[in-house]
Amino acid sequence: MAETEAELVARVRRGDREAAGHLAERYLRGCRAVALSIVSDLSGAEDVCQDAFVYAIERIDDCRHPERFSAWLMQIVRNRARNYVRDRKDWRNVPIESITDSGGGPSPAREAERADLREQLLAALAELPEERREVVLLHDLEGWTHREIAERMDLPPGTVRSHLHHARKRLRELLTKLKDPEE
Amino acid sequence: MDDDRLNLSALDPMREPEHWQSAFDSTLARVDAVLRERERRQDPLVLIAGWMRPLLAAAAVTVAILIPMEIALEKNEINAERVQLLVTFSMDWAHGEQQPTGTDLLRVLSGVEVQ
Repeated sequence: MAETEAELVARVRRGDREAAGHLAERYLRGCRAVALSIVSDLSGAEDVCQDAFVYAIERIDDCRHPERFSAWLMQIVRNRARNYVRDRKDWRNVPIESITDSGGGPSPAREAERADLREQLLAALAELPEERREVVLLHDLEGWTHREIAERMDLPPGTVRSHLHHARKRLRELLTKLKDPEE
Repeated sequence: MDDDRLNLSALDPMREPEHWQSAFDSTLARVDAVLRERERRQDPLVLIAGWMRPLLAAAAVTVAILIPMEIALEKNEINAERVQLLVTFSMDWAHGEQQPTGTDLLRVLSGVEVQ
């Protein structure tokens, strides 16, 4: 049976590295999605999520409700992401060159195509309110349930469903326009 | 299963698994350093050394305050004794209807016994 958040937090407080690894496996991708909902570039989102996670481990004694560690962690991510945006870039004024991933692998043509698609998605996401961006990324990218999202974002499940519905609707409109600007 | 899900796979970190694994590993390396530092800070000797410095500082301050206080108090005690002497002799002089001389007063105030 998987350990609860509170159990893992208790282990980390005792210096258990394995428990910290389990928390990273569970939540680092979610941290990235939350960071991406605020920060406009993928590498910035990865930097933010790493910094936030490390900070959360440093300050793990400050987590007053270990059974809600992930909600506390996500709030740290949001704060860090907002500081990142404030200190470095405006959400809407990101140079297009920065909306690409580094690293080798695929051919230049394929990488360009992938970068185009990412760019389109990020541009479309930019049109949504921050909360809806976070909901749609956590649900449709990371596979979290409505209930999990509601707990981590401190929202009623009904609000999460509503955000998701409206986010998808708007993204579909925008992505269709991006593909076919004359439509 | 949610059939209405948008395809956001272009943003999935697992599109470049090595890159994501590298980011994950470097996060855990930083976490390791944090936990090692935490362990070091919780070592009993480190804790005692941590307490010692402020304790020593407090002791130094206390001594720095107490010594002048003690000196001042000693003076006050001497002064209190002299005041008491003055009171005693004043009463004697008053009862004896004898006016004290300047010399008598000086002697009392300097702690010299007056006949």
